[in-house]
Amino acid sequence: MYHDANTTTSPGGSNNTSTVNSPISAVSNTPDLSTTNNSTTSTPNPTGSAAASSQPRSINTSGARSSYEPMKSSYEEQWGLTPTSRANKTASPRDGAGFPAKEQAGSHKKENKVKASGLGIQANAGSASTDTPPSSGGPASAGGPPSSNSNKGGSQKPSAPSQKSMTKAERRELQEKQKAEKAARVSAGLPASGKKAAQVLNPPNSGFSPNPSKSLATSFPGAEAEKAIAAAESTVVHAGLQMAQFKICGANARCVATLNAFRKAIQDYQTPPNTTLSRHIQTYLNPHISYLVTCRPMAVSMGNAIRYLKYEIGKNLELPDEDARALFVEKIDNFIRDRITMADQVITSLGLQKIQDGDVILTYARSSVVQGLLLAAYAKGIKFKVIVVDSRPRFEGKQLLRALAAAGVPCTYVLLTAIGHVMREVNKVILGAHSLLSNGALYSRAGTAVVAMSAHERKIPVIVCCETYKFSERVQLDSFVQNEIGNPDELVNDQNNNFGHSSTRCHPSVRGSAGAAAAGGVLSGWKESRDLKLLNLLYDLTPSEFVTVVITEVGLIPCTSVPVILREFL
Amino acid sequence: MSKDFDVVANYKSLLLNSPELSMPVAAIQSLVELIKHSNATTMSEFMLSINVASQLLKSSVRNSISLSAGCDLFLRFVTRNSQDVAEFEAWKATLIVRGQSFVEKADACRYKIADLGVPFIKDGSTILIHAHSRVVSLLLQKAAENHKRFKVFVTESSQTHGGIRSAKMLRAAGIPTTIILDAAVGYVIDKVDMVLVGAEGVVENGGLINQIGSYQMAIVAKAANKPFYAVAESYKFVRLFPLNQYDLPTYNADTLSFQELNVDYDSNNTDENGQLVSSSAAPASALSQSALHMKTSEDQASQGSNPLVDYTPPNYITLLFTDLGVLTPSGVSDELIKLYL
Repeated sequence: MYHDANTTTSPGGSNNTSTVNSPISAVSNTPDLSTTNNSTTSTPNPTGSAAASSQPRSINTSGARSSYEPMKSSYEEQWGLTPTSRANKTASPRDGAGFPAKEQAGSHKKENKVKASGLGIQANAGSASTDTPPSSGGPASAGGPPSSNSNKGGSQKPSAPSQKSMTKAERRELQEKQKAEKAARVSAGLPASGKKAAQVLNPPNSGFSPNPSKSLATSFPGAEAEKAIAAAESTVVHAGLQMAQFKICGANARCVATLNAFRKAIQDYQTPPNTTLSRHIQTYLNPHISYLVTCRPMAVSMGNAIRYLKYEIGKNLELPDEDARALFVEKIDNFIRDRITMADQVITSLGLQKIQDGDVILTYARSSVVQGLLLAAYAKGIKFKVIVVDSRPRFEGKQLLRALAAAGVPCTYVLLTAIGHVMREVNKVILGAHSLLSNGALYSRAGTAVVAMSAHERKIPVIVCCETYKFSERVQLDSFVQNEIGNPDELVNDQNNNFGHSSTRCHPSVRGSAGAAAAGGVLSGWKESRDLKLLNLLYDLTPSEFVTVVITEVGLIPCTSVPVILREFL
Repeated sequence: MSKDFDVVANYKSLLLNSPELSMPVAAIQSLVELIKHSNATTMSEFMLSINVASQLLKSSVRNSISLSAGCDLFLRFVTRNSQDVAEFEAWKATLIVRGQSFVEKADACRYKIADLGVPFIKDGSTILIHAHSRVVSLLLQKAAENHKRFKVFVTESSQTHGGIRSAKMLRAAGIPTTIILDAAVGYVIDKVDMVLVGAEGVVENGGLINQIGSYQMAIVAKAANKPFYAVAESYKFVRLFPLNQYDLPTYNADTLSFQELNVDYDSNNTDENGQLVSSSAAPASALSQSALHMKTSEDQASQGSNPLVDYTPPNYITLLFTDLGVLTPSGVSDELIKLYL
């Protein structure tokens, strides 16, 4: 299938590339300064705190902030709005799933050290007592440990019960047990060592496996387990195939489909002998993930969700199987509920403030969040018009148009080529996002950059609606360094992939001369042509200066503040 | 509830008695006074009374962005400090003490800012400032005290005569000052080395809300490649995110609206264009007449077909001098995010 033409990747690798040491250094919108790396220049210490802040926010020579310290707002300190009440802060809406509390970081010193090496700042890495974490009920790395860490499946702290802590009788018992197990292994023909036996039964996967079912099968000896495999596989395979055929498309839809498939997989999972669910589940899930990647390159939203799941798994290695299973399923449900569903609702309510009577709103392609926002605005009674801009080859805007028209919203539909003409009467542009990068750039459906640039030129505000789980630590400067290539045949304008539109309207003279070739579209012979290649890029990059505001579930932020959100909350 | 304590009257008298006090600080002081006089016996009654008083203050002033910012900050301060209330009266007493120190700190902000901003004034430079801002004047006076030699152009700001007030203050400090027409900013920009303005409010993306004319100066400064610095105390940070000039709360349908054609120009109509010429009056007197109309309309709480403030987007601002330090516009948003979210 065409998806084998995979992504072009940046030299550093895929999504999981660790970024520049201080994400802040990529963010600067004042080009005529030399010291713009951080928000405070190195003037006499920002003294703004009467309260004892244990460390001034020093900027070391490399320009990166000292990373072991939770970032506190000096505004907070200045006006005495801090700590005493932090611990008692009730009902932070971000408690619960998706935002594991930072205090739990104590047991994750390992992750802390890796994280602190460049990205994310965790509390409790030896900070002074006055530095209570900025939001005690608040979120820590829901995105999980960054980059390379996640591929090892979170911090795997082996924790055999320490023999020193057991009484003599308990030790005796343990030894007896181990002897019995060893005897059983030997009689079954496996190597005597427990580790090696486990390896034989569950060959470790190095990630990509061309035949997922095979590796899954070897993990699960036993007939009834195979039924479970079939069922689990079918959901993941199902999801993967739907994604590959673009039946499920859009960052949110793909992420939810992935998580649902994984939830089913976890529910149906049977633990193999000699290991526990939480220890083995990562190895089990990896081939599923690889399969999805082969269907379609991983979306940032999916990647962040999977990273979160692995983080949760890594945190709970000690739980008994059924508890672990229930916990992971709950975590998945909470993630979908908090970071996607509820986030969309909050975004809608915030976005409603920015839509007034008489607005002419332009939107591009189809974003589920934008659709929700526009429908909610209309339901609220605001009188506005919508211009839906669409483009080949996917024509995703048609779906949005159908939904809006069905609700009664006055709509206009144009193709991207008409953007210069319609932009004159527009007074707001609302866009969706596949991801927001750390340099504030918007990574979204191909064509978005043109729309944003066009609006910016006429000083029309560009509003982007994006949930925080789509924020990425990546930095990208242009659309080529990382993108996804779609099926080039989609660009050929013939009967088969025109979704029911009329075939190419060739001028009769052209048709006459081209003959049979023209009946299938002018480009249909492109493969035979030596010098002709078709390029179907799916995404593009919009620079941060074209975006006025980003509406997220944490509020309205300028797009240059993406790294702040990542640093403080994720 | 303390019905006998009129918070608005207290606020106004504070402003009258100390002209150096800024509006938000006076408002906060009035709220602290309210706490002192409060007869509330329960938390909820107390919080309610403070909220009501704050609303009263906000609605009593026409241009209330900085005042709103100050009130909101104080309310948040009270809320944060009300988490662990053991005994109501004792807590009220501590709150009064803390509130008082809050006011003192707020008042002291501009001295901190002046210290931070002085290094940016280079010897021998020429500075362009806008109308009258106490913080800016203080900063320049401090620079003069530090034996820096510089000259100042100040825009007249004809409606409020702020330029004249500024010029008086600066000349008294020995700084050579010239008043220029508001319309002459473009003319003079190539003679200046930097532009310095105060602030009514600083919004979430680091943009600036200030007296009308600031946006113009920012655009001219950017076109002429001169740095544009804004000076703002941190209690002026507001939770607003305007998409453009007309997304401000001070904007309403009447602002810069076109009047009916057959309206009687002789009566008190605040038209913006100089065509207030009645059939008989000469243009000059009509203009001064319109100025008068403008003035009287300012006293009324609701009128205003001409805006008093405008919004400067963050990409025009080079740096903001605040008591939290010298920040870039995106740094302001970082601070606010850390605070609010």
